[in-house]
Amino acid sequence: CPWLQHIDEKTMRLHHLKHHQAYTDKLNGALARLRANPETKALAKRGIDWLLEHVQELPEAERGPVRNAGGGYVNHDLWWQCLSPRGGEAVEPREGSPMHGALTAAFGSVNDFKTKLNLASLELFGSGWAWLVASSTTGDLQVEATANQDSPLMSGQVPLFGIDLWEHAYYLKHGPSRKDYLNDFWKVLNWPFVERRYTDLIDRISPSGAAGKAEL
Amino acid sequence: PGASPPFSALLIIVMLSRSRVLPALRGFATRAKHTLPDLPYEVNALEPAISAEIMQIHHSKHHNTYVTNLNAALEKYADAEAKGDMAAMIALQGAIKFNGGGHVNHSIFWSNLAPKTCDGGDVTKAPGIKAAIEAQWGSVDTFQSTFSATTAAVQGSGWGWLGYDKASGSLKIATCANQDPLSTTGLVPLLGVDVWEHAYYLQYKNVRPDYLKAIWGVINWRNVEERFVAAK
Repeated sequence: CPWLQHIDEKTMRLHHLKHHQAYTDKLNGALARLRANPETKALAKRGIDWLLEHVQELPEAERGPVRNAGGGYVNHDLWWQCLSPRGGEAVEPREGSPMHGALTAAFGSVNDFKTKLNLASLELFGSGWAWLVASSTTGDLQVEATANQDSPLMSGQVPLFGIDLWEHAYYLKHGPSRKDYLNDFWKVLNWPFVERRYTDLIDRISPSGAAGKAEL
Repeated sequence: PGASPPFSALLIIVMLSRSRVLPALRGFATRAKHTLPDLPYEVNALEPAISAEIMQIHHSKHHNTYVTNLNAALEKYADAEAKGDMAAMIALQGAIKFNGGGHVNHSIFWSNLAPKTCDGGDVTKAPGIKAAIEAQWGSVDTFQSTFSATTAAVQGSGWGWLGYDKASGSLKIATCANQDPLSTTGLVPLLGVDVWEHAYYLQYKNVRPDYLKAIWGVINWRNVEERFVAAK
């Protein structure tokens, strides 16, 4: 299993079966509480993405749980899809692809983008995530960091991919060295998935746009 | 003592300090560096509650990094202040808070812990704080469960604290995010427990509550009492 060279099996198991499971359970608990209250029952049916975009509309007691557990749930759901043993076959976005073009336009080059994301990752203090995000209205790209399990969805940004920077994501194999972890992360990032995510978004924003037909 | 240096020596010192010859010397006192304190016990002394591996990395890597980065930030701050660069001074405040807080918090933490051979975990050695805890929470057990539950609930990285509130003369349980020192809440720190994942992950994995249960066995209650007496 060549990909286990980069992120170890023990971390994958704990991260998925314990950490992500715990967020799932806590989110389900929060949603059950919302459903049980006639005033908030309709909110519970809106879906977690909507809830994260409108977290201020929730009763105060549930904002923290939804933000933390709901954020943790969606962030990790995206995380597994961003990683791939076959990420090693596409360590860069494909030249000529809309994603490649957009990264070059926004950051100067793909390498400049990686430098910027690495810097944001190293500068984030405490627990959180670093992201490549796109505006939900314009598709414009940005590098962003969020604390704890806060999702870019909360500020109207669409996460294209994120890097989990909580210590549980890297400590067993990489110890304190977030830098070593980032080196390994780039080797398993699933660029084909990220490219599809980007073109899907562009198609949603402007259906007749030049992004081309999105793959499923 | 009492003997004053010869006038000529004083004159030379005054002239040198006003010249450009020794600006480094004049700045030296403001740039005294912070240093990593030694652990008061061996790295394996707190086993099985906290593994030697964790103690080694936590002290010589994490705490050491806070000290190094604090010194670097303070040096840059002193330079910015000398140039009157307010924007740079403000931009550095985050780094000073993170790393200064990290240094302060961990220095307290090592002193808050002790091996069983030095009465770690034995609250009867600290009758003053024991009585104050019992007066406020009914029993030491109840205090510990409340502290553990509150601290386990910290989202992401942070610390759980027992602090002293001078205004009311009472003890309080509080939590802080990241490396924010307890001083930001106005409380005096008596006992802190680090719940950044690096404090327990290698040994306890995701099970923070197990770590919080085990750490009570190595709390240096004498140190907590010393801080309590000093705070009052």
